[in-house]
Amino acid sequence: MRLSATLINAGLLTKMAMCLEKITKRWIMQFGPEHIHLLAHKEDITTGAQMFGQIKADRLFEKYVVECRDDSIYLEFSGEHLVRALKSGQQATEVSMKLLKPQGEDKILRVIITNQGRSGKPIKLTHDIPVRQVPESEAADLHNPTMIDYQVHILLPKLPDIRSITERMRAIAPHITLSANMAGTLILEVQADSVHVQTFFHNLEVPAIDSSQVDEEERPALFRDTQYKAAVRLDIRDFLKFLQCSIFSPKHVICCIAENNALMMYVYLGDNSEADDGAFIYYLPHRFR
Amino acid sequence: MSNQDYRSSSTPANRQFLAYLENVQTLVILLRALSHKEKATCVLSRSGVRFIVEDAKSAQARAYLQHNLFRDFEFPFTPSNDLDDPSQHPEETQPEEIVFSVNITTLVDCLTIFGGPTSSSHHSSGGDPDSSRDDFTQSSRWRSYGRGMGSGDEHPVPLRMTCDPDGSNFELMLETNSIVTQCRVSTYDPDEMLDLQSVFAEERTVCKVIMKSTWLKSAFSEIDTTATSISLLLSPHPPFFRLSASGLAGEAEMDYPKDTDVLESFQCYDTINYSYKFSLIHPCLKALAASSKTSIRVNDVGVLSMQFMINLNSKDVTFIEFLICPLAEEEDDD
Repeated sequence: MRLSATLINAGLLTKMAMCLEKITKRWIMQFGPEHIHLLAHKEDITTGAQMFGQIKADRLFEKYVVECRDDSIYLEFSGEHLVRALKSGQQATEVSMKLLKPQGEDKILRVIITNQGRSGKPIKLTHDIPVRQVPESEAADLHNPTMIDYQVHILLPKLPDIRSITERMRAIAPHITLSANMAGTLILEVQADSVHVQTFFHNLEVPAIDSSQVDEEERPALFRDTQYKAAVRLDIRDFLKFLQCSIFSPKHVICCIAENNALMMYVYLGDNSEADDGAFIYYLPHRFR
Repeated sequence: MSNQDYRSSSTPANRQFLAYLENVQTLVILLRALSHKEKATCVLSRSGVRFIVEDAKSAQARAYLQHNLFRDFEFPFTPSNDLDDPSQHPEETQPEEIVFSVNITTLVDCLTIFGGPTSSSHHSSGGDPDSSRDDFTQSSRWRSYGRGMGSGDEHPVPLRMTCDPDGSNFELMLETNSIVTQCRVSTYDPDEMLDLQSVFAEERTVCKVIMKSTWLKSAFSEIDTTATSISLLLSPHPPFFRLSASGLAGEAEMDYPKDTDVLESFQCYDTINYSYKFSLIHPCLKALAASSKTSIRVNDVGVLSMQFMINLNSKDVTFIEFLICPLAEEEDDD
C-alpha cells in the first residue's frame, strides 16, 4: 500500500480543514484514484451537524500516488494535527505527504514542509500525524450522504449576509428556524421572551426540478404548492458552523429542507465556470428542544 | 420599503404610532449611550421619542429624538375632553404619551441586525480597563453612521417603528438590499421614575459651562477607572474649572483655564465644589465620546446636569442628558 502526494493548493486544504474542524474532531478521508472524499460514521449523523466532501484529487495534489488492494485508502485522524501541520506550511515552498509503512491499523501520515531558510538553503519540517487506517469491513459502513426526502430546495442568498445576520441572532436565542418555499422566499427566525425576529429574503433562485431525474409519484412533496413553506429548527451554533464555509466563496449553495427532520446544504466550490471543482455537503439535524 | 405587509399587529395602521427613521444608526448611538442599564423607559409622544434610564435612584440619563428628525412621524391620537365627539372611539385609548419599559440590549441587537457596532462588541473590547477607556474617547467608532451590510457601500439602513396606543405590538422593521427584518419587541409596564428634571430645575443654576467635548474626553481618559468619586469645582475665580478624581489609585486633578477657545461660555455665580459617585459619572462617557459639545450645569444643591450634543449629520443635532445627584457631604473621602 502506498500513499504519497505533493500539495499544490494548501490554501484550499486549509480552508477545508478549518470548516471541518468546526464540525468534528476526527475525520475520515478517503483517498480514491481521482477523488478525495470526506466521510462520517453513520452513528454520528443524527446526533449532530456533519460535513461531507468530495473534491478532485488534482485540485489539491500533484504527483498523487494511491496504491492499495481496493481502489481507495481510508484514513481516520485528528483534524487538529492536520490543521497544525498545514498552518506551519503556510509560507512553504513545498508541502508533501506520505503514508509511512508500519504494520497494522495505526500508521503515520508524514507531512513534510520545505521552507526557504534565511540563508537561502531549504529547511525541512516534519509533522507526523498519527492515523488509523480504516479496515475495509468498516469502510463499507461509512456513510455517504444520501438524498433525504425534502420538501423544498432553494439557492441560498450570499453567505456573508446570512452569516452576519445569524451572528446577531445568536445573541437572542440558541435556536434558529429556517423556512423556505419553492417560490423563492427564505426566512430566518429566532424567538425569545424579549423579542421575536424574522429576516425575509425574497426572489431567491429555485433550482429547476429535472423531471427525468425526479418522479412526481415518488417525490410528491417537491411538486406541491410553491407557497408551501417547509421549516426546520436548528441549533444556531450548528448553523454558524456551516456558515464558516463562506470562506470558500462557493459559487452556489443549494439548501434542501426536510421539515422537522434536517437541513442539507450542497456547497459547490469553484468560480462560475462549469468545471466540477468539488462540493461539500452539510447535514444539520432538526432540534426538537 | 417593500410593499409586502410584514406587520403582525391587527390594529389598523391609522390607529398606530408610526415613525420612519432614514438611518437606524441615529437611534443605535443614543441607545448605546444608555446601555449601562438593562431596561429603559420609552416614551412616544407627538413631539418625539424619548428613552430614559435611571441609576440607583440618584442619576438619570435621557436620550431624545425630536419628531422632525424622522422622515415620517405619526402620533394619530387626539386626547379629547369632548365626550360627545362622535369621531372619538370611546373604547380606544387616546393617549398623550405611550410609555413602556423595554430591554435596551435586545433593542440594540435588533437595530444592528444588518451590522454596525453592537452593545456586545463593545463589552468584548471592554475586558481590559485601559481599552474600555480608549473606547469611550474614540469617537470614530461612534461615527459609523449608516454602515449597513452589502459590501461596505455606505447605504444607511432605514428603520420603521410602529406601536399600539397601549404600548403593545412594538415592532421594528429594517431593510437593506431587499432583505427585510421584522422584530416584535416585548414591552413591559414602565417602572416609576424620579422626576430629576424638576429636582434640578427647582434650585437656581449656579454654574453653566458650554465647552467643546474634546478636552473633557481627554480629561476623562486620564482618570483611572478604579476611581470611586469625581469632584467638580467651578468658580468665578481661579482655578475656574477643576475636575478631580479620588480612589484606590490615589488622587488626580485637572484644571481648565477659563480663557481659551474651547470654552464657549462660562457663567458662574458662586464657587461650588461637589463630589459624585464615579459609577454614576462613568456611563456618561459613551455619550461624551459621540458628542461634539457638552453643557455642564450645577444647581444650588449640587445636582449636575450634563448635556451632550450629538451631530447626526451636517444639519441635525440631538441631545443626551445626564442628571446626577451629588454625594452627601459626609460621604466625601476627604
